[in-house]
Amino acid sequence: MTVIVRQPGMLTTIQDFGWRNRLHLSLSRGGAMDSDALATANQLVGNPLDACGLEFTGVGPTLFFEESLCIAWTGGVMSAVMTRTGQSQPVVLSSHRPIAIPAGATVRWGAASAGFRCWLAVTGGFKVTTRLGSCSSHLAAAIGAGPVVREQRIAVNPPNATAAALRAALSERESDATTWSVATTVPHSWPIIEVAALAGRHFNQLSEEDQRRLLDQGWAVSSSSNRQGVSLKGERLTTTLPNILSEPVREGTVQLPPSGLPIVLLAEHQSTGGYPRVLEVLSTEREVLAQAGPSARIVFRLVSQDQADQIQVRRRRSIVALRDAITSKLQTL
Amino acid sequence: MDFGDSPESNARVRATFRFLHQHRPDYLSEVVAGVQTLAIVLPETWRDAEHRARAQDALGLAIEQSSSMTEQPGRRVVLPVCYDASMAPDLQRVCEITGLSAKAVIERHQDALYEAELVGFMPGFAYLGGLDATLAVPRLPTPRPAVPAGSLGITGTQCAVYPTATPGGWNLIGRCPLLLFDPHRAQPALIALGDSVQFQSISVSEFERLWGQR
Repeated sequence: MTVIVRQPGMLTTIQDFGWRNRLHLSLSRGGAMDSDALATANQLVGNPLDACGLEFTGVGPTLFFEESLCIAWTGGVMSAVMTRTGQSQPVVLSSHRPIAIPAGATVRWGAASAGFRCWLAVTGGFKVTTRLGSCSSHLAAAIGAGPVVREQRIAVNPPNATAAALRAALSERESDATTWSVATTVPHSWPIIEVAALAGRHFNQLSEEDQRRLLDQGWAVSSSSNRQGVSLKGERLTTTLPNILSEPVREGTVQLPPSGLPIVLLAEHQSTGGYPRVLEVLSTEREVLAQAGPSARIVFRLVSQDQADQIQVRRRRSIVALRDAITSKLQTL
Repeated sequence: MDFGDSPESNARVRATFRFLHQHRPDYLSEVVAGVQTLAIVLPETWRDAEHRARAQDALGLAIEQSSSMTEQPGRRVVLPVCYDASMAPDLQRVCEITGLSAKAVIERHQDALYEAELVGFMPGFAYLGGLDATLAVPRLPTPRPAVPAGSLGITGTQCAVYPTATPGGWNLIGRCPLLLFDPHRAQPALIALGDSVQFQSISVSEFERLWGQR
């Protein structure tokens, strides 16, 4: 069974969790920019958490569904409209919940009204060739498929028992969608996105004035940003730090190039970098960084290692709580 | 870990990298080498203060142990490269800067034995040290938005082959038809950290034949 792409949207790519333990090959994680959000979408339709889905950016695609299945999309706030030939009334669909889609339906996603990216899961997950164990599209490394294009047909796996049962249960209800939904990962402070970070290796080489500039600003997002990194715009830092010999960098490293405008590295980062590193954003902040679109303003919050450890622990607990809550809710369907 | 600004630093980084890769201790999820630095990624369950301290101690020991081991020679990799003018858009510029003839540039590039000092930037890309000092040229003032995949670039003391059509600021003097990174291969990357690399001149028709096999 296939899903047909009628319109590709701004940038829609096939993603799962990406690659782990490949940095020695210079292959960074890639995959869904917020893999927890993809996991949530998958859980909502009964799939294994790492099943292959789609990542939407800015404006979502229009997809045609040959057969009936369940879908759910998470992350930013983006609504969709469903139509079917023969049905006069288009139906508005909402994010963050499982929805039963009938055979022959076309779903058109719009622009994100808050946030920037969404992750779509469908019953069974997409069936795509894997490379080094992942179905993801790593655009920077040119590994995997490129962005989806018009008239592309994407195969879907047959569902496992859980997903099939869920689809059946949802289709039998009066309303095809649940009344409950999961919370969006876009922060309440939107368009301000606050990210916690440790001081980077070269933070102390910045003048005090520059340290303040770095931490006090609501940095704007440059249009040259992509899955490799968010390029920030704002008042430039003036300390001239010399370029360094290439060092291993990580997702969350904030580099300071000669321009004085920081870059926050993301999922498709290069494995090494020659720019000084002024901050290290915590890995827990991936979820909000993935929502850093053109209207966002990023504010860095400096934390200590202890605080960072606590943030990690809290985050792990809240993810476990979320998975448990979804499991209970789905059982009542 | 920063190995500091000494001439042996790169060798020590590579020795530690090899050691950790071979022994795969349980505090190590990933290890990435820089020019003078090395980073390890801890597994999820090791990310608290106590485990970090243990990992740091263990890493210190590993560095000591690896430095007392004899340097293992890396593999020797031979890369075919076509130096034909049609594949060497910056050869003219290199000749002008160095004062050498095209023939001399190609010979001196081909004659050297290079060493993969750093693997990074993108999959398949290796920074190869050992470029003849008479061939030292600065980067292009403006990088190309996209170099042809397989292009051989030189700058400063290094040369490298661009695995795909990425932006690039190095001086292009040839092109290699092989797939530098193939996810379907048992060893996806052709060049690993510490490998010795030699270049072998091929004709345009040989280039086309090999390119067709990608």
